[in-house]
Amino acid sequence: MDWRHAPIGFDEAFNAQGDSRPLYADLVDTFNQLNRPELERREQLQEMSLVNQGITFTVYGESEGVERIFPFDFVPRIITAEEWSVIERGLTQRVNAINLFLADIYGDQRCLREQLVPHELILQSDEFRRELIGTRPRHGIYTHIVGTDLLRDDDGRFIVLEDNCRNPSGVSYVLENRNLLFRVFPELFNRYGVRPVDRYPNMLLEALQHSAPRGREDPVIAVLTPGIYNSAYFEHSFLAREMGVPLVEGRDLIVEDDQVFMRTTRGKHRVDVLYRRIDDAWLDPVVFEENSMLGVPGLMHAYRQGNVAIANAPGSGVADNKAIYPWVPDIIKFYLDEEAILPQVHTYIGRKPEDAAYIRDHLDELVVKLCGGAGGYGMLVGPVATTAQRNEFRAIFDERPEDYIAQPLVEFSHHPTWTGDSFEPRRVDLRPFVLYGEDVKVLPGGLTRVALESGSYVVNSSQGGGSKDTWVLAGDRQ
Amino acid sequence: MIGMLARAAENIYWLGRYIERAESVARMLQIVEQLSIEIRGLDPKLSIEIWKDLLRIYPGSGMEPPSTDDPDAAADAFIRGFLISSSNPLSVAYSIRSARENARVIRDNLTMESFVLLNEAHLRLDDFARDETIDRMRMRNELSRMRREIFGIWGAIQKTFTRDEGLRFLDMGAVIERAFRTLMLLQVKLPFMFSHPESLDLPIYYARIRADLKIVASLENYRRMHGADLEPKQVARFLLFDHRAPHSVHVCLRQLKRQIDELEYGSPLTNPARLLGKLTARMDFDENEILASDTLDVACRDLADDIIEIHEAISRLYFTV
Repeated sequence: MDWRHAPIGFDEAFNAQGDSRPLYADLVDTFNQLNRPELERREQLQEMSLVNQGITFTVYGESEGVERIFPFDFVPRIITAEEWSVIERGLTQRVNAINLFLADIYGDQRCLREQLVPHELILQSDEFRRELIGTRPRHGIYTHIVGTDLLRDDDGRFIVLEDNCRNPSGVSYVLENRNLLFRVFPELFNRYGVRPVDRYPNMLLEALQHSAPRGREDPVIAVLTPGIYNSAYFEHSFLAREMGVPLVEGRDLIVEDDQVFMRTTRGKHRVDVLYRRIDDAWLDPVVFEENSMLGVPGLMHAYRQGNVAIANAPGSGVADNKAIYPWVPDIIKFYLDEEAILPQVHTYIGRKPEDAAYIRDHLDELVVKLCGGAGGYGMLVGPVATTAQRNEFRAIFDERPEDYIAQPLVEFSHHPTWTGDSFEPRRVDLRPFVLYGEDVKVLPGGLTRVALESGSYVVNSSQGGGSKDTWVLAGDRQ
Repeated sequence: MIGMLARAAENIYWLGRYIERAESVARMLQIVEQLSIEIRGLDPKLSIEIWKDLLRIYPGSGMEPPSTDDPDAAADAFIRGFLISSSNPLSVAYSIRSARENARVIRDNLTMESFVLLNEAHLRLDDFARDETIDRMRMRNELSRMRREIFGIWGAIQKTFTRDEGLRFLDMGAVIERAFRTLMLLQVKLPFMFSHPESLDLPIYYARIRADLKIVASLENYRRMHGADLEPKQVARFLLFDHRAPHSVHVCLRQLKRQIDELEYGSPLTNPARLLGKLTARMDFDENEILASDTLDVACRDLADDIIEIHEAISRLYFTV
């Protein structure tokens, strides 16, 4: 089989001479024992399996939503126990600090008084919910589920690209990718001791149970989805099924006497915890977006009264706004008195006039991101954009530079990826999932997203990305 | 005890109705096609006419009967219209798509095995419908295949579905659909069955009655009970009152009653249970009156209306909270 190594950046499987790294030698050897028709047969099998199982996401902007499969590349990504230990400690530290930060913002606001972060960054943020000041979720946990995007730099170090503290998605693919690889390439697991990921639904359920309002011994938990046309609907129903809890839409819920009820065949039944997969703005038309058809009138009042837990807590998005990201190492220092374990990318902030000027003049070197954006929308990858695209973006940027941040283009690491006739290096990132219940737990694995197009940096599912199974090794190689 | 989510119960109920409907339409297309082939040499005009009964047993198709003297063209139009048409809300493709949409919404209630089989059937039929080169033979094969696949789906559901309220609603949807179609068939076919046999071509007459029994998957069951004697009143009695005929109204109502009793165990009498009680009592005690040959088709229409009323009562009680 043909294997090509990456000409630039860090290649996770091959060294600069093109020899496979020791960690990957057995994997490469196993694939080399298969011929091309066999690989093609198994690739078809896996694709058919995804289609038939309806493991799909819905693409925005198309009428009624078109279901697509999230392409799966069968070459797994391997992370050693030692590397994972750093990630695990780094993410635990980060999530702890972010929660203390959120508790402070919605509490005493010491971080503002002591000028840890600029006032306007918080108070003018779209994600800041002024009406929740003084509302403290159970145990002070705001972000029960966090997905943090990591990259590997040229030295192979994992660095944080961004935190997703609102509704991080993709964990269903982590579990399904593993199942798929078990079925289609079982022999790959013969020579590696891979840590399982299938406990995630139990971990999530435990975290949600822990968040239940005081006195609810056996809480009723439900997953709140915007509905079948949401791009992540498969994941919502997957998690509900795996946890054994109902999947509800806003229209299934009703608030009476500040309690939340779901409409069942036996009348109304109280709900104690909502794992919501709806953004804050749509949660409650009485408090937020008044035209919301997805939310539940009165939900926020019930939440403020402490009668229902909402995970992640409303208002958590203020911590993952891209404009806050540059301050996270300071936040860690401020609340935990520790240095950040995981490094992150230097970031220019559009709201600072000198940074805005730098961004405007260096669009060809920078990746510019909309602070409230997600899914690769509202983003410019300057070094690969055309002059016309940069000029067009500059005009948009100039209208509201405060809405943007920019970072120098960080070269992603590359990972061998099957292209149909050979194994080619493609850029990858990693989204591990962190759960905060009784304590912080990191799922040993994560969603590796891969830019399937040669030379591309865009790994998002909606824009041509795919995914891989991510193996965290249990310890020494078996 | 926590009830299941009302919306999910409704989706599951309709999942049952749509799967049942898809299989019954596919079965009817197969049987009518066989009958039309059987009689076309004897009575070409009738071999076209018999297709039109479909529009009465499945009202609301929006399909106009084709104006043609060619039995093949008529068969093509009806099979295409009821197998793959996306605009006919009673076509097999439409029912399978609707079943799958309902299953997608409540897939947290379905096992992977059940969902995968249904999804596969939908995707394959969808591909089939888009193929512009489909001929009659392929449609014929597709009908057989689709029925086999639906049996597989039912099998997976029966084997793997959690034994909870959901399964009851699924079953209720299926038996209501089945009872309703049996009654619609009787309503449409009885006037012909009771027409005077001497005035008819007897081989065709009996071929049609045999076909009618096959349409509700009951010919073999009937023969086991009554041999080859296709006496119309006996056929009607069999499809209405026999406790061994899987598609008889009696069996469907008993099954429905069992599910409602289980749902409502220990509760005061609900409206669906009350309506169903009235209907089963009428079936039990007024058998002879119902079977009076000159009004039997009207009685079947009334019974079908009662089934609709029970469906609406179920909808109001369980799905509208």
